[in-house]
Amino acid sequence: MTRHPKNKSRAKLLRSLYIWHRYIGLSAALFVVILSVSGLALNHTESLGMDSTHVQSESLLNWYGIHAPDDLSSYSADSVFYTGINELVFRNSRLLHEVRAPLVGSIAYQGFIVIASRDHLTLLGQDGQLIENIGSAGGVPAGMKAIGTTADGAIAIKAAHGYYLTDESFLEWTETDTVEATWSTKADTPPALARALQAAYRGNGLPLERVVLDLHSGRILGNAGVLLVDAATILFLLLALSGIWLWGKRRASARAHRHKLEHQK
Amino acid sequence: MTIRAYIIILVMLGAGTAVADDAYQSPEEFLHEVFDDATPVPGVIWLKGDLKDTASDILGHPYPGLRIRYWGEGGRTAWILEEIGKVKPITVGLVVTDDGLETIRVLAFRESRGWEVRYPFFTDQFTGVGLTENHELDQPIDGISGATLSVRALKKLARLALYLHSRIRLTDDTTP
Repeated sequence: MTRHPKNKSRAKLLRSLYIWHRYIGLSAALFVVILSVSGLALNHTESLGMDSTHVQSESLLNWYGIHAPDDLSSYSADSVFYTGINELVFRNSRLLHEVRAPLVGSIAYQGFIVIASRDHLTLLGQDGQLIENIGSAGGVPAGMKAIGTTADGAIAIKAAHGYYLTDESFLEWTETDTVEATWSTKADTPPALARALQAAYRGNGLPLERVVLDLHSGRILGNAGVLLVDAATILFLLLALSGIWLWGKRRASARAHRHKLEHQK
Repeated sequence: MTIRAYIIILVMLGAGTAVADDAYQSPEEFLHEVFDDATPVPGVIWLKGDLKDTASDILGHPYPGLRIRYWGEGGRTAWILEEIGKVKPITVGLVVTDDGLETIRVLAFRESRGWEVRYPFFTDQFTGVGLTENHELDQPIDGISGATLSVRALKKLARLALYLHSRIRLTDDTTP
């Protein structure tokens, strides 16, 4: 018995589609794994601590182009160095989350360390424990440029609109025309500390969440990666459509076969 | 576009977000408004002993500092407090009287979601709210879908301000 040519070509098409479906499935498998795992992780960013964990891999940090500046300068107070690198501030090589960049000076004063940034004064204990962060509401002058101490033991601030004096309570501020003070000045960062700071800066520069998000969207490979994920998405669509079509064909053919058997009976 | 160009754009977007830091009212303006342009000299309350422990219980973590500044006059105290919603601090201005919370206002919101907590439909619920013996709010506060962490942060700050106010009213000795 020979098959009808129409049936023969239909069977050929079906077989070809099966083969294509298999190849598309194999090509999409890797993307399915990457997108599923990264998607699951992104759905639980907080509980997995991905927003607070930072990537330490040298190659990934290099890939993202995260580098600390080569020339670092610091303010020192009580033999401790305070360094601002872009938006981050470090006490020696430890990140101070509570201090806001850019730094304008640091002084040791009556048992406190006072760190001045442009709009905030941060009071630390000798051990680096935060005592208070004082902003504009606490009377801190805006646009601070320097901090120092006067001969009679007051704190002097040079700000955008003049000079200000305060005492150890930091509760009242007095504006003055001019002031004689010993100002905190920048010093070269010791080479060993500079290396540690550069490593610490890089180690705080890339949250794990960013990398997983970029992996999920393909952006970790730039525009080409996005196009690759787009292509994978089209493969998923083709896989779904060819799967549904093959399932429908198989069902129809099984039904026809059943009918044929019933008629023969 | 190379990955570096992408990073530069990301950094610029980040910087843009930081600059766009949603500050609705400056702390000084808030204090001027509360005290009719005559902001009193601030006081400080030191967190030590049971006060420090209770503040930690209320916040669910130690307060990031050893002292808190406040402005007080005529039985009212004003506080500028910060609490992290998800990853960034929300700056909140609060005014407390002996009858409970008079005002709670979001002064700066830096998170990408949950900013609805700044609207009066939410903050008005806090008016007149007091503190129970267990340092919980004595009235229920309805949450906002999608702003759970911000709502939680504001409730914590309301409890903290009410507690600190009660401690200041108990004693004037707030120096170390």
